Amino acid sequence: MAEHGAIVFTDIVGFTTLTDTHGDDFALALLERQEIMVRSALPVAARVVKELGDGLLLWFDDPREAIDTCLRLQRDFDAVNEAADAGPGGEIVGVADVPLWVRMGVHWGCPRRRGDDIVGRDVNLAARIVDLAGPGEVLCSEATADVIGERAGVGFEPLGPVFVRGLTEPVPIVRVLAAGGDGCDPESGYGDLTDGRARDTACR
Amino acid sequence: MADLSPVHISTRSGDVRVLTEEGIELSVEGGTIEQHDDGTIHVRRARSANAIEVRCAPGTDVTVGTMSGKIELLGNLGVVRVATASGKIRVVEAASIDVRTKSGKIDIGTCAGECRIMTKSAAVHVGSAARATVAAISGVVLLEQVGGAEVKTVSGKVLLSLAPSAGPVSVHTVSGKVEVRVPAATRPTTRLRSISGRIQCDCPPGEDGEIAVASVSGAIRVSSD
Repeated sequence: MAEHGAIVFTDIVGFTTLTDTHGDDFALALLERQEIMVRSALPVAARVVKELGDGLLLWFDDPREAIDTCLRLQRDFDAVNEAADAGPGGEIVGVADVPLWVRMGVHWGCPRRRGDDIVGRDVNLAARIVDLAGPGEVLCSEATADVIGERAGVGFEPLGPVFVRGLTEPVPIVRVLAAGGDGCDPESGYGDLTDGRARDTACR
Repeated sequence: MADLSPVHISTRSGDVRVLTEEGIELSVEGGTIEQHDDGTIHVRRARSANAIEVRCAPGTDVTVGTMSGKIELLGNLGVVRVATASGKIRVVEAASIDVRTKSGKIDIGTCAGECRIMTKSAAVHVGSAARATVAAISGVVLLEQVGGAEVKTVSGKVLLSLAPSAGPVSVHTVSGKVEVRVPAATRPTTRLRSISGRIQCDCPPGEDGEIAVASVSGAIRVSSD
């Protein structure tokens, strides 16, 4: 069975280095911190599909809720990191002393279900999109931006067609911005994406 | 009037080279051209070619998407966006820049606006930029003559020289060493915090811009020219 939804990957930036530097218990605490924050932010029509190393695979029925949640989570992560900056110096007590930089990739697609899991080309694409994001960023496919259209509080900055590992054709990628935030022009909206929509939103 | 249609260059592999010339019509060697309804021009590498060379008017917006190969954007361009996985990237001059790559070397000459660089391990050099936003896991980040910056690295060293009258600077690292140099006689407001790294500030305090640096274990130094 297949149905449309938003596939979201989160990924902790620098997790391998942090684990190497601070140890496995620290890594576990970092993962738990991310998961608690993400789970508490999820709307009713969303779920954690599975944990993937230092990331999470999420499913949202509604792409608008997916984008809103990702932007809200990034604000929450920013707040946590600002609190870490304000702490005292000295010994590293725990994960609260190090920044939690998370990047996110979103794709609106039509994966196949396998039990509670989701699989398919659209899941693979979402995983590749997050690879292009920097800490604190949310990137999405053009198909996602297209299906959302204009939305108050959200801006989209096209990054152009990108080749990603495992896919033969380049994929148009878009940077998601909170309106009024870094580089976001709320007036710009999003351009004509009808070709991408026809290609990427049909369940195959 | 010169054609300033945005150019999108896509090739899975092979080198990409873009040059600008005053008054020139767009020309492409080693690639095919396709004009889209939205006004953008899409260039794909020809099967027989191992490199693409594009000549366009100064100020043209250029987007490059590849997996590997050297990317050289020469001349004075508009909005530049590059996404690749590996290979050397060189941008001589642009209005604004967004570069994303896993590894390799990124060399930016002059960026009139925002210069955004996201990489895993590439060495980063920016000659000058109105503002630089850089995120890296490892690899040295060298920013010269920037008018403001936001840098996040895990273990990479950060060397940053500020332009006169620079705006806010924010640097966060886990274990990377940070050195910030300000113009002579500058008296910045500093907020420096490291949990276990050494902190040194050679500048007298004042209100000539704000410099905030935070690290977990990396040493921090702020000095003036």
